Amino acid sequence: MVVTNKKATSILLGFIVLIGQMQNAFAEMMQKGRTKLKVLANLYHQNSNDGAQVVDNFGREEANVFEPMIFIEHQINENTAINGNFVFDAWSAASDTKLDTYTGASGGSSIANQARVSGTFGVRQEYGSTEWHSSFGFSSEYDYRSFNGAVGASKGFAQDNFTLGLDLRYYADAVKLFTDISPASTARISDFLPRQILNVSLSASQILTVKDIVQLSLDFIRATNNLESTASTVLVNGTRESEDLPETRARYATGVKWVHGVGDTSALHLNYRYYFDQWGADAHTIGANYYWSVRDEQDLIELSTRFHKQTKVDYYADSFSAAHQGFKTSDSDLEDFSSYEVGLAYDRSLGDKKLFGIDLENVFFNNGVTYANRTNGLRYAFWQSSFAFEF
Amino acid sequence: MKKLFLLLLLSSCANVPQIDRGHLAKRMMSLEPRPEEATFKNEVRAFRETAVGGSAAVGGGCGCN
Repeated sequence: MVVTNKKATSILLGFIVLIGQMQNAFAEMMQKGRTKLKVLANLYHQNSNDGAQVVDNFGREEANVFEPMIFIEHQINENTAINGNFVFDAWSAASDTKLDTYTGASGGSSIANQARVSGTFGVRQEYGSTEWHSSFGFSSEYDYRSFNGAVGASKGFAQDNFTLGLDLRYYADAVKLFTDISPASTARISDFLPRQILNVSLSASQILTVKDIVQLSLDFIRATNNLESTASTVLVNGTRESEDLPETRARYATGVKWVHGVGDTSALHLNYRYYFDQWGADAHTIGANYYWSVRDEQDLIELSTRFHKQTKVDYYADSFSAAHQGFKTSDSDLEDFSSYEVGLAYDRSLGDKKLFGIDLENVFFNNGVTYANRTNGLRYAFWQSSFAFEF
Repeated sequence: MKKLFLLLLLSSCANVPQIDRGHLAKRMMSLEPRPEEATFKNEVRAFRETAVGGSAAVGGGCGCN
């Protein structure tokens, strides 16, 4: 999937975006010397025959991703914890080799099966009602690399009834793009080209009652330079060309989340987000999650559903005329569509266990499945299994 | 949204004491009860949709234009 290449790659590279979130993976401070470890395996599949960006005109966007992750956090003292996240993923995509066959971009071998490594290292400190965190991350694969950093802080007010948080993230990325693709036999891949992304996030949460919490969030993201997707193409008067997009993209989002306790053993989470950007797209997203504690509140069951509706970016079309002037893309992710998603998960507590002579506490075995269907033809599903414990 | 913001401001005067937050301390009441799993979910959505924000998955990656 040339463009599926883009699609699968984007999924794989998505872990870059975890950088800032790693800090919150184990939010509670532990006792000095304690360590938490979680191994999470993600198995992802997507399929579609409607990707107008695919170079061979067949539109096939099939991709499979296997992405194991390791989260670890160690408590140095009562105020400070260090954490890390490590990812190695492997993936295959139906049309990955469409352009790579010609260019040898992956060193002369097929890129139908790729791998990526990434890692994040961070520190978190908490003093009274104030917490701050920072992290550094990297990611590397054949057509993309990233060095990124994040800093953030949160402070509680009014006896922690109100909490304000601010996060800054910066990505110094580099990407290789296919060029001279018409005809594909002359295609080549560029050297690494720079790309920068800055993200500022502001959040505020308020305890309303003994069973209600609400959170508001604001996001600003500014991406600059080489924002095209690797190998994404457009059809211009019957001839394939590389997509062409502006050098900057400012994006804005605001969201609200409400958590409401239903009885003593369940909770309803409702959320809404409005998004718009400099490229003319806007989107509305609404989600609902129902959590149910069972087995004396040891286990947790989650039912989730989500609806997303977006408009296309100004530069999107399935194909273009030769007279077209200006930017152009046929990326199906930037098209006008709605998306429906459902999910089910079960987190099972195994209590304390002894494994290879080591006493493990708070052992959990979690499983979940998610399915989504877009109105422009793409379907995807993923299975998640994780094993977590403390020692 | 305006009403919700006003509700937020007003409610900040009606604090819930620490001793009454037993229910709020439960895992199901946290803003994200399954943070690691949600991270993967959010990144998939961020790359399969034009919209981002409202979660940590907001940028980075060669596919996210």
